[in-house]
Amino acid sequence: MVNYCNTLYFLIFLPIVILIYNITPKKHRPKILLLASYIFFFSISGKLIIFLIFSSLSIHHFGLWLESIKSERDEILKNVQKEDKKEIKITYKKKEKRIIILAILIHLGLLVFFKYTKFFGININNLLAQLKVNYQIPLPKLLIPIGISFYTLEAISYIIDVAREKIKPEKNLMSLALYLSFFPKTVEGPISRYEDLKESLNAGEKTTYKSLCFGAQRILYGLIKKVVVADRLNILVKSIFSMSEFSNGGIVALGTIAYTIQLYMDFSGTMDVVIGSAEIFNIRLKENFRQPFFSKSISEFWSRWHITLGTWFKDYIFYPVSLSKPMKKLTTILRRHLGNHFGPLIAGSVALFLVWLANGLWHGAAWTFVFFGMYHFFFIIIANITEPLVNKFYCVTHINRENIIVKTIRIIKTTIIVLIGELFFRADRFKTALAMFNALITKFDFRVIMSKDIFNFGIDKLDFIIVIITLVFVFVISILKEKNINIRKILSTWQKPLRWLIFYILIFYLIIFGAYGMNYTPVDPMYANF
Amino acid sequence: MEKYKNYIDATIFLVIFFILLNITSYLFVPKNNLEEFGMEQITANGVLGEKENTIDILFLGDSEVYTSIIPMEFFNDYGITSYVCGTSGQRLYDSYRFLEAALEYQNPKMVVLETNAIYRKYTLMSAIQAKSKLLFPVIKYHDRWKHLSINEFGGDINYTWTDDNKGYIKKDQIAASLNPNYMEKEEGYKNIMPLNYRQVVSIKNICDQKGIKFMLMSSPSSINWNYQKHNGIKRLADNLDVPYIDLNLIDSLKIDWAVDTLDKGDHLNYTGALKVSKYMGAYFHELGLFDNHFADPVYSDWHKALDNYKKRV
Repeated sequence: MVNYCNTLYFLIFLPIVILIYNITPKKHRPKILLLASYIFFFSISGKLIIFLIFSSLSIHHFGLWLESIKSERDEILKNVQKEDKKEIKITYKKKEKRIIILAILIHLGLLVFFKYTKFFGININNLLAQLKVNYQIPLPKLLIPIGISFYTLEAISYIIDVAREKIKPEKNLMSLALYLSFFPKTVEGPISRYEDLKESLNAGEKTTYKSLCFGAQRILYGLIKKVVVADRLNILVKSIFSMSEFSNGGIVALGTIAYTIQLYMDFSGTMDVVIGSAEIFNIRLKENFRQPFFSKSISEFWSRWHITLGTWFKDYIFYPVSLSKPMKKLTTILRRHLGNHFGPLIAGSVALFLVWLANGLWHGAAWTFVFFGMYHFFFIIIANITEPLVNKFYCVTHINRENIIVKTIRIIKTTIIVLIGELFFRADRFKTALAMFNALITKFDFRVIMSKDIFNFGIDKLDFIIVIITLVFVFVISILKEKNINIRKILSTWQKPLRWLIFYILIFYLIIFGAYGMNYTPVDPMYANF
Repeated sequence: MEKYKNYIDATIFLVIFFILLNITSYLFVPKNNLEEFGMEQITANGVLGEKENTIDILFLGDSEVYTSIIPMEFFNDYGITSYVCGTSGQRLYDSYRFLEAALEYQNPKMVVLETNAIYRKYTLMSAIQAKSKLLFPVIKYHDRWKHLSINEFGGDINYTWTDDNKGYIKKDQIAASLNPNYMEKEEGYKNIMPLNYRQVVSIKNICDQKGIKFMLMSSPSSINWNYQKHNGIKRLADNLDVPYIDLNLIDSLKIDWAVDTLDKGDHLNYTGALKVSKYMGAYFHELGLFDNHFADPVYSDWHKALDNYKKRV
């Protein structure tokens, strides 16, 4: 059941869970969600559920441990002289730090073990071969618990938030277990924070007619994006990215654009299904996308794309590093020598570098992903460095940044940077990505995109038409969302016949034009592998 | 009343949805069994184009059956008419669907299920998908929107095409088997998945209801078959009280695994299929259930098909 967009999930599993959840007394409903979540996880990862349970037990224990240390400290502080308080606080701070480090090491250790053992093994073996050492490390074949990249970050955020006293440690183990395992977000996120979910997860609110309708509408919208577009483009993307030679940059451009659309439609479509599923239980998950292709810069793009991952890195890597004592010292020194813009910028860049290295590696254990992270780091740094210059340019030329033409040019520029980044992200090997990039630059022939050659990659003219129609539909919805217009709310005020007509059209659009069945190979949920 | 308004609304919405689903299903279902009408698996679906009530035996199963059974040999030797509704990797819900579709036009005296499909993995997911395709053909044929012509909307179903080989797919390649002694006697048996077991029972039930004899047959395959599978099917046949022939244990067939297989023992080639068909033809004849239609003018098309078959072999 790995895919949220398959019939078993939304026609059988989800309706059964909704039914049982609603006929169960309110106080027991969270238990139903936990049971459903474990069944869901077990159906995908089998015995590996033990690692999810371990993580839940572990953060429960560490949270309570931190609390007991804090209580002990507070108790001691009550009975000591003022001059001793500082020292006691430092001692307990150190104790807390050790606990946090231990907790992080355990969770990160599991993630690294499952996800990166092979990557490190291959690279060590390559190095040994280069050094002509006649030994190769045996590479284990590991099965990875589904969603480990997502729930590990959630587990770490819980521990750190408890340590920062942002949240109180949870005494109820079941509540924490549900937080880590809640089935709609198990496979692909969004990466949630305990403080955001605690209340709604445990409230056991009954499904209302409104939550059911709104949730179902969101699921339908997500399914259209995923099944009509992402799955339809699968064969085209696969064919182009698996070519042995890239003799035409136009074809590479087509493959890159198709892949970027596919990735967005797959991931954001799945998020719609996920958020819609949770909405049915009156549980609000964080949005993971906010019209990313309307971004005017790379930093803005990353504040609109996979938002929950970006904010996690910001809160738990960027700020702790840039606000750490050594970095503060460095900032002060550099500020003195390089001024108010470049001083903090260079110090901040160190934190930013770590964020993007982590971002690349989080996506996968391969050099293409490391490059992907560094690529975005590079463009963000360049934008930061040139910011005063660019500001001056707009000031001197009196060009309005918010002018529609300037905005469009900036959006196109950002999109092109994103597209090239996705080329490296998708390519199987770094060498292939370079060959494709080379063809894109040196052998670009626009005519090929306008010719019939584009129909040689497994999808025909009619498929292209359906993709374009659906993209126009998504584009219109995106513009309305960008203008903060709540489409579902407006729809709900329309006359019933008109409203139903729209729903029937969308449902049958999905059934008829969906890329499923004998002639298509649906793409596996792309972010489930990260 | 206000309290139930939402339930009433939801029910009306669903009722309209299912009505629309049925209408679109009717629009999308192929109106002929030719490929250009969007029909899939046309060789096996050729049975739909046979003259009504002219088929004596219907074979169901996967590639093992369409490479082993030559209906034209039965007709040539005994005047018995048969059709092989076999498709690659056929699952039992497909076998059931083929049987149901064929029984709308045919009234065979016997249905033979080749047993390799009984051990094919059958998940709940595939069962749901199969059932939904069966209930609402638009799910299966939705991709026909690309080729639908205006004439097809509302047109009547009229299947016109049939296969001259009656579902048999002739293969001449030779690749010797590497394990010709695959049927060494063993005591244990291979379990049959509950979903598959139930599906076999469903096939038997539909045969019982229509007064059709039902039997199981295992085609020779040194790759797919073994004694434990034999024991599993034997138990199934005993439980259901149906005849079972395991051709892997019939010495008189004299399958030569050096020359009678096309892919190292997975499937039989033409020479292997000929041996099986001669044996099975005699078996069916001895049952005394079937009339000899060889000289019957109703079956004139079969003679044309037989001529074509003879030319090809």
